[in-house]
Amino acid sequence: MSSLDWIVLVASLVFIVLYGVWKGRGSQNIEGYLLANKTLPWHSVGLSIMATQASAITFLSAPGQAYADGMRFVQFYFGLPVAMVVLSITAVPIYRRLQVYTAYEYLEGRFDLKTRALAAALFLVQRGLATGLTIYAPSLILSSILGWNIYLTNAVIGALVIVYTVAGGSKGVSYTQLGQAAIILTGMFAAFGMMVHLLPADISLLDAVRVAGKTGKLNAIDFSFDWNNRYNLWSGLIGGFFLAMSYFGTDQSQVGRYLAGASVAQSRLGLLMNGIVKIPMQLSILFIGSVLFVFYQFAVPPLFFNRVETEKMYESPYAATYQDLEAQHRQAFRQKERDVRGLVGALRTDDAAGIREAGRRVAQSQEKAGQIRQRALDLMKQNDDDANTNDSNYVFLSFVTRYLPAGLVGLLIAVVFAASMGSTASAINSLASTTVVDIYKRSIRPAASERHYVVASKVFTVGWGVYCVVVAQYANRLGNLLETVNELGSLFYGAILGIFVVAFYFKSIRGSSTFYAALVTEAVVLGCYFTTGIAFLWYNVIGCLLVVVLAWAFSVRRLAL
Amino acid sequence: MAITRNEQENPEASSPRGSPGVPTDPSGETPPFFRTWRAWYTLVLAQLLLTIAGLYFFTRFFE
Repeated sequence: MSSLDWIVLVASLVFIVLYGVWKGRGSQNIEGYLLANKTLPWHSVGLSIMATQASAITFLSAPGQAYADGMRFVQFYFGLPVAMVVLSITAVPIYRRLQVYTAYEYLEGRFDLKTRALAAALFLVQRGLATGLTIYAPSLILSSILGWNIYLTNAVIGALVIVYTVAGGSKGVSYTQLGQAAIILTGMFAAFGMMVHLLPADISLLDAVRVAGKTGKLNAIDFSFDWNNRYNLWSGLIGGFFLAMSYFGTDQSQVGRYLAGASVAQSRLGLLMNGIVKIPMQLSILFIGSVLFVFYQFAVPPLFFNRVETEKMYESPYAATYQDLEAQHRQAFRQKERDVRGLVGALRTDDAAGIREAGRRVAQSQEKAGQIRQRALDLMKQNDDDANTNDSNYVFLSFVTRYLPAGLVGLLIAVVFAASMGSTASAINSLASTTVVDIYKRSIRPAASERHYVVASKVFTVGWGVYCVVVAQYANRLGNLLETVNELGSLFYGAILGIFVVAFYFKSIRGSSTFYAALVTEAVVLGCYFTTGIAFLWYNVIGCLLVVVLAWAFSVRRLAL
Repeated sequence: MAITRNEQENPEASSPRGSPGVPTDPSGETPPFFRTWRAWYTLVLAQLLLTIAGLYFFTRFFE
């Protein structure tokens, strides 16, 4: 990175931290510290909800995913707007009316203490691990591409987040996300603009889109139904709905965001803003990946985007074979480039037979390039069984560092930091809220002063921040990180959502039935995960329905006895 | 905005007929559709359907 990049990066990070500390100052009571005194307008609520969900992984993995697999990942978000509507109608008024600090607090009033504690514990386990990944993901990619020390990068991200989250509490987190969003939007627009600018002079954006379409990189909708297919319309609408219901309705990192709204209306509008903006935003990021794919039809991509794994190959006994594959890869690229140019020419003439023939040639050269790459991946595995052969997380940042001018690289690295910090801050704020409200205040120190709880919240924020950094230091080799985070969430969210569905809609079912149903369900979901190939989104549906059915069955049996 | 004033901390107060999607204004009259929550929900769901349909045709057009 050049000096200018460092200046842009450091200035952005200092701005984020100081802005968070400044805006969040002066919270004297627990409501002020954990819920920003319930003063946030709808646009702050909406932005905060979006910034909490969109971590650095979103901006790094999604373009790589579209590069490798097209835009079908967008279907994952189709259930989200429906969930926003359902939550606005049901959960928001209930939480607001009961004046709760956390979602789990509601469960004690409805059921009992043990069900509240179980839901809080499932949240703490899942969110603590996922937040570690949120920190680890960008560190891993930055360390691989820029040669930074991964442990130090984890520690720096963690430390910056802890500083302003401890100082500013929920208000600091929300206002900081405003600045972070501005940096992210500017950076992503700039990257896309440069990508289009760097296409060959005779290739327009429309040409690029048509090539992306012909090579299957715009395949956003898949109507086929398959339990093992991760992303199709049905898994996105149904599984995605249950996941979004659980994430936004029961995960304190999100519930805390809209509970900080100034009124029921402001909270609802914040959720609905997310429902309207989320899919277009995700689509834009995926589209960047599809255009990046076309860019690399005219510029030689590396055989493998993760430089660390490539360096390992250069130092291995297979170095000569690997370098030979790289030479074949460059040769195949030249042939492919000629074929893609032939396709562009055919598309411009609108000659159907010519387009078909050119498309067939491109498919052939793609297949050949794919075979060479597969041989390289096999060689990596042969050299090191633990080698990470999934490089989709590195595709976008690799482009940034290789092709963008000085200053913009710093801005894009700042985007990665900003996104990571925004979601991490919300997460450790919610982990601290849940620990203080649902465990410490409820069962350990129930009658302390407001000041005491504010101090306790700050201490727990530091504690959870350190814990997440420690998890980040141990996370490794997890495939596509965006999928891993969602996969981890899906293992727990179904059961948590089931508990809340019973609480909201099945008034006759009592606490013990729900508690044991959730325990059995969690065991079944984990059992299925380790023994079957069911796509992870379905665990949200299975978990939720199983809790409802079992809780009802236990409840009926209880009455019969 | 009428919705904001009507639904401060007691959403039930603005939904006397048990419908959380229809707030009423202080005069007790049902406001025009576009000022109700139902309008907002319809907008969000309509946008989803339009997005899915748009993406389907976009994909088909360029494939």
